[in-house]
Amino acid sequence: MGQEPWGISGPEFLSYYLVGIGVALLAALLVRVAAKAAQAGPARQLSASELGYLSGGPARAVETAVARLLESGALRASRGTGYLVATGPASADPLEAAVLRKCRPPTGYGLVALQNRLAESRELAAIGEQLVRDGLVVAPARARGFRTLSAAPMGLVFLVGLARFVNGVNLHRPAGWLGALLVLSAALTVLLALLLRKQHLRTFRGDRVLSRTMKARNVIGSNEALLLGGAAGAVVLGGLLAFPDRDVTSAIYPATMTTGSSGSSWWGGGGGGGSSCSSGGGSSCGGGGGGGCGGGGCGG
Amino acid sequence: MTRESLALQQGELLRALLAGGQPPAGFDPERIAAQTRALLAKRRRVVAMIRPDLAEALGDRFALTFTAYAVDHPRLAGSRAREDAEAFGTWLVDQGELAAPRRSWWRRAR
Amino acid sequence: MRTVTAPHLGVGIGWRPEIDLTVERLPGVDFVEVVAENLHPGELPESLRLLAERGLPILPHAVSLSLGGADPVDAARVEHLAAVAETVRAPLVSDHVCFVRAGGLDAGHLMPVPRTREALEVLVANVKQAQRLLPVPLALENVAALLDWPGAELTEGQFLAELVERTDCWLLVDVANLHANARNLGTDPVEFLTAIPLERLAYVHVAGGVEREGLYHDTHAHAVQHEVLDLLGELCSRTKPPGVLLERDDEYPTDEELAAELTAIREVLS
Repeated sequence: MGQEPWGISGPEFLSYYLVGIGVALLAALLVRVAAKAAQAGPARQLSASELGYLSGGPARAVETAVARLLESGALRASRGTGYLVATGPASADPLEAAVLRKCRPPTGYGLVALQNRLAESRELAAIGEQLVRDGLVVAPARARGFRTLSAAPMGLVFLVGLARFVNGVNLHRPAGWLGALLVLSAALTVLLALLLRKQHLRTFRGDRVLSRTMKARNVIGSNEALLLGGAAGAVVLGGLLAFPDRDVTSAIYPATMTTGSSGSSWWGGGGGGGSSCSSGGGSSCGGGGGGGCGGGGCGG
Repeated sequence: MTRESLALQQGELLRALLAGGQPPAGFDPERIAAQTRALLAKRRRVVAMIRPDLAEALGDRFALTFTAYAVDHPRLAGSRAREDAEAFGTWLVDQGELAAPRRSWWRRAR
Repeated sequence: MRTVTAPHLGVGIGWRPEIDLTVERLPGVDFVEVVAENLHPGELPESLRLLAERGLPILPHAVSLSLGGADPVDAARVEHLAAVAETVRAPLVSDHVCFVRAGGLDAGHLMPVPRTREALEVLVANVKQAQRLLPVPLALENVAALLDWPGAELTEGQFLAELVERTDCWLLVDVANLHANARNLGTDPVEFLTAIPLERLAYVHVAGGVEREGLYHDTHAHAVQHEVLDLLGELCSRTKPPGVLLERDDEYPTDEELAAELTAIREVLS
C-alpha cells in the first residue's frame, strides 16, 4: 500500500472529478446566459428578411427572401436546372433586391451557390449589424468569445483528469473509471467548443421578439400576418425545406439533398435552432424558438 | 449541279456574317452588318448561359472580349454549343485574360 | 400513309427546362413543344414525363436539320429527331425552311434560303430524304430574317406552297416570323396567307420580339406584339388552326405574364 497520488484516493478523485464536470457544465450555461443577456435596443417592426436572419442567421435570411420572391412570382424555380431565376418584378427589400440581382437571367443560381455569393454581401452585413444594434442578436465576435469561454472550464477539467490518468498509468494503478470520465470530459469540451462554432446566437430579447412575432402572424390582419402569413413564416422557422410548395422544394433541393443534411450545412445546420434548445437554458426554447425545430430544416 | 452553286452562295454568306468575309454581291451591307451583330449577340448569350462563370469573371469586359474572340473563331459546323463555350474559356486562359480555372470544373460538369 | 387532317392540338407553349414547373401549372395548356436537340431519347426529364402521363401531346421541334442547306441531310440528326418523336409518342415533328451550316461554319441560327428554283430543288430533295427517316409527318416552319437574298424567283408564300406540293409536308406558320419579314423585308402577309395551302397547316407559332434600329428582332425574349396577334387573327379569319403555340426562350417573365399571353391567344382564336 503506497501513498495515494496527490494525497487523494482513486474513488475520492473520481467523485471530485464528477463534481468538476458538473461545475464546468454550469459555468458553460452561465456564460451562455451572460452572452444572451445583451443590452436592449429600441423596439421596431422587423422585415421578413430580418426575421429570417434572427431565426437562423444569414443563410436563413437568404432563404426567407427567396421564399417571399418565389411566392410573389418574382423568382422562379425550375426542376430542369435546379436554379432560381428572376422574372422581372423588383423588390423594395434590400436583401430581396440583392437576390434578384444575383439571379438575373439567363442562368440564375442554385440556392447554396446563392447563399455563398451573398454571404459577404453588404445587404446581409447590414441586417446583422442592425440586429446587433437592436440587441436581438449577439455580435459574432462577441459570441465567439463567449463560446471559447464556455468551453474553457471543461477543458481545464479534462487537463486535470489527463494529468491524473498519466500519473496513474505510470504508477500501474487501475484507471478504467477515470479513463471513462476522461473521455466524457473530452467529448464535452469538444462539444462546447465546436457545437456552436458557427451557430448564430440570439439574445434573450431576440428569442422573445422572434417568438412573439411568430405568434402574432396567426392574428388575422396584423402586420406580422401580412409579412409572414404565407410561406415566409414557415421558412423563417424551418428554412426553405419548409416551403409549403413541395414541387418547388424538390426543384430547389435535388433528391440527394432533401434526404440528407447537406442542404443546411452552410451555416452549421438547420439544427442551429435545435442545438440552442438542448444546450442553452430552457427559456430560450419557449414559443418561436422551439418552433424552429418544427420545420424540415432541423434534424440536419 | 445545283447543290454546288448553292453551297458556294451559302458558304460565302456565312463567311461574311461570321468570319469577317466580304459581303456577297447583291446583299444590303447594312443588313449584313445587322445580321452579324444579331448572330454575335445570340452566340454570346448562349456561351454566357453555358459558362456563366466566364461571363461573371469578365464582367463588363465580357461582350467586348467575346467580340474580339468570335470573328477569328467562328463556330464550326458539327461543333456543339458546349464545345463553342469551352473553346472560348480555353482561349481566355491562353490569352491571359483569365487565370486557369480551379473552381469551375464542377460548373462545367453540369 | 398521308394524314388527311392535322390532329387537333389547341393552345400550347414551348416547354423549356427553365420554365418546366410553370408549364406544368399554367392553366389551359393543351399541348407542348420541345426542342428535339436538347432531349435524349429514352430519358425524358421528370417534368415531361409528368406532362406525358397527363396525356398532353408533346411535339418535338428541331432546329439543326439545316434542310435548306446545300449539304446532304445529316442522317444522324434526323434519326435523333425520330427517336425523340418515338419517345414522346409525337403525332408529328417539325423543323424550319432554313439552313444553319455552310462552308464548314455553323451560324447557330436559322438562316433564310434563297427563294430560287435551284434552292427549292435542294430543299425538296433534303425534305424527302428526312421524311424517309421519320416515323411521323414533318411540318416545316417559315423563319424570320433580317436580310434578303438577291434574285428571288418566288415570293415566300409561293416558295412554301411549292414545297408542300412537292414533298407533301405540313406547314408550321410562325406569325411572328411573318411579321418580322413584313417589317424587315417587305413581305406581304396577306399574299403569304393566300398563297400557302392552309389545309396543310399543322399549327401556328406565336412569339415575342423587339423593334431595334428600325428592324424587328424575333428574340423570343420579349412580349408578344399586338401586330403579331393581329396576324394570327388574319390567319384565323381564313382557317381554324389545329393548334397555336407560344414560344418563349429567354428572359422568362412571371407566370402571370405567360398566362396572360396564352389568354390573349385564346381570345384571338374565339
